[in-house]
Amino acid sequence: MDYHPKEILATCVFVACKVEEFNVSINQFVNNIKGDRNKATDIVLSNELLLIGQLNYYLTIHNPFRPIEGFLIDIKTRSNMQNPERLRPQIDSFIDSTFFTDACLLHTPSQIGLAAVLHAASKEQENLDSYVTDLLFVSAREKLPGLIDAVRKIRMLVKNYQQPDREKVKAIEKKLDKCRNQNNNPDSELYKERLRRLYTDEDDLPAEDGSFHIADVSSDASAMNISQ
Amino acid sequence: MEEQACPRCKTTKYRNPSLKLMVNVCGHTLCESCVDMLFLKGSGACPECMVPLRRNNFRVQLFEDPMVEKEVDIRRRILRDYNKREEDFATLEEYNDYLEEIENIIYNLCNNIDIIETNKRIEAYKRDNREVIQRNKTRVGRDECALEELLELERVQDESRKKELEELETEHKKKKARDKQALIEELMYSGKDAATIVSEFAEKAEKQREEEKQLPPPKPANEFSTGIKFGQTADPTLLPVPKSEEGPIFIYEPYIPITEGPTPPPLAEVESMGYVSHIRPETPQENAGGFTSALACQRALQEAMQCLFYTPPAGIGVAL
Repeated sequence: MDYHPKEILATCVFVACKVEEFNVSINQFVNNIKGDRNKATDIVLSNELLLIGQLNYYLTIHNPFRPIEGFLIDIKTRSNMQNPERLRPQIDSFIDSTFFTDACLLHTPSQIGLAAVLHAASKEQENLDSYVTDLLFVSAREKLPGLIDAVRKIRMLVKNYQQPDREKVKAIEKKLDKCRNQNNNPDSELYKERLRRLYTDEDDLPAEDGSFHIADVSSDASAMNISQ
Repeated sequence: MEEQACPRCKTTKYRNPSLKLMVNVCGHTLCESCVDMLFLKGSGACPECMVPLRRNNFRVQLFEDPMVEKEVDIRRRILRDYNKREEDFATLEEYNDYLEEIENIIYNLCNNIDIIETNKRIEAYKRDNREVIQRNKTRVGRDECALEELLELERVQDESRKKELEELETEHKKKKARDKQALIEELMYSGKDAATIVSEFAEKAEKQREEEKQLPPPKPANEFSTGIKFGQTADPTLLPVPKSEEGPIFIYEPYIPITEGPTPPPLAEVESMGYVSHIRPETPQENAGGFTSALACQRALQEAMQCLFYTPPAGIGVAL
């Protein structure tokens, strides 16, 4: 394992803030993290470029949040539902739980958004079926079964989701620590040694630089041997 | 700036404003009166370098630095013999070598390096290329020819224009005189009232003047004011504009987005149907950046509608 998921997770959140133009400075950001803040700053900043590079600099993530806004605007404008804003708490909790599932890998963002809206409506004892059938799909009735199927599947995915067992999670975390690539572990001696050499005489070590972040099979193998 | 002075009689421009410095092939200066005195016989030695000089080789110094004057002189002399053109060489490289050789010779002569050797080289060159030199001497350069032609053309045009103007003016004068004469005759022999006759003539003259004003210059413009003809491509010094190979003509096809979903409302409808009223209006700062609430609203609607029809291909999905 080259990079710890926890570190990449924090980096993802930091990059996402930038992409969505929600400006958070790195100091503010690490204030929300438990533990050593200087270390967290180092990790996030050093992984940031790696992450963006691995995404091939394609930073658009199609998420269901904007479609939900679109549906709410459309419902307010075209349907006669009373106060659609009261659906929001249910929508938000539904969307949060879709991210524990594979829904965003199987269905389009707009379908997930519509599923969230419909789910919230049914929780609020509202019926939006007429909105879907008579307004949204009025010119494409034949496509309706596909959508109904998709919405049903998304709701099932969310319903069937179960929190993993705590004991199991702890065991996995322990395991992860053992199989780290020490080359990329900021706590390891190997990493510190490499960094030191990198800063003292950069000219003599052209090859070393390449294996710094990018997974390199041969260096991985040697690193694994050393760490074991 | 250094004061110009004759090195022999030490006269300066300040003391004698009409001082004229002369220079000869050796590049040393003398004032006009010194030249008159020293070269009474028509030839003599330069007082500074003792090079034998002829009086009629003296020229008025144009450049402040006599060395420049000398170089110009040498260059003129060398180029009289080294008068090959680019067409005389097979390749550009050879031509460039030739040009470099000329510069080398001129440099050597100017700075007194290997004078004897260089002169030998020039002599040898003259012997070897006598025919080419002669031929090129008689042939006036093509550019010069073209330039002269242009100047001649301009002169002719100028003359004709002047002539035209003159003719117009004399015509005008004649006409005026005729009119006057007619008026006097009318006054003398006609039985009408003098005042009405005068006013009639004045009216006529006024009308004529109006007409003249309205008449545009009849000459059709077939060239620019610089003398270059419209659409002329005969200039041999310019390469013709290369014609590019054109493929089939571009045909515009309207862009039809594939949204895989219901058609979202167009921008005009977003505003007219009241979609915009459900989101906050843009701030002045956002508006300055080109963002309007209608755009944001439309984007949200587009994202909501697109891909609603999508169904995963068979085999992908989870068993429920």
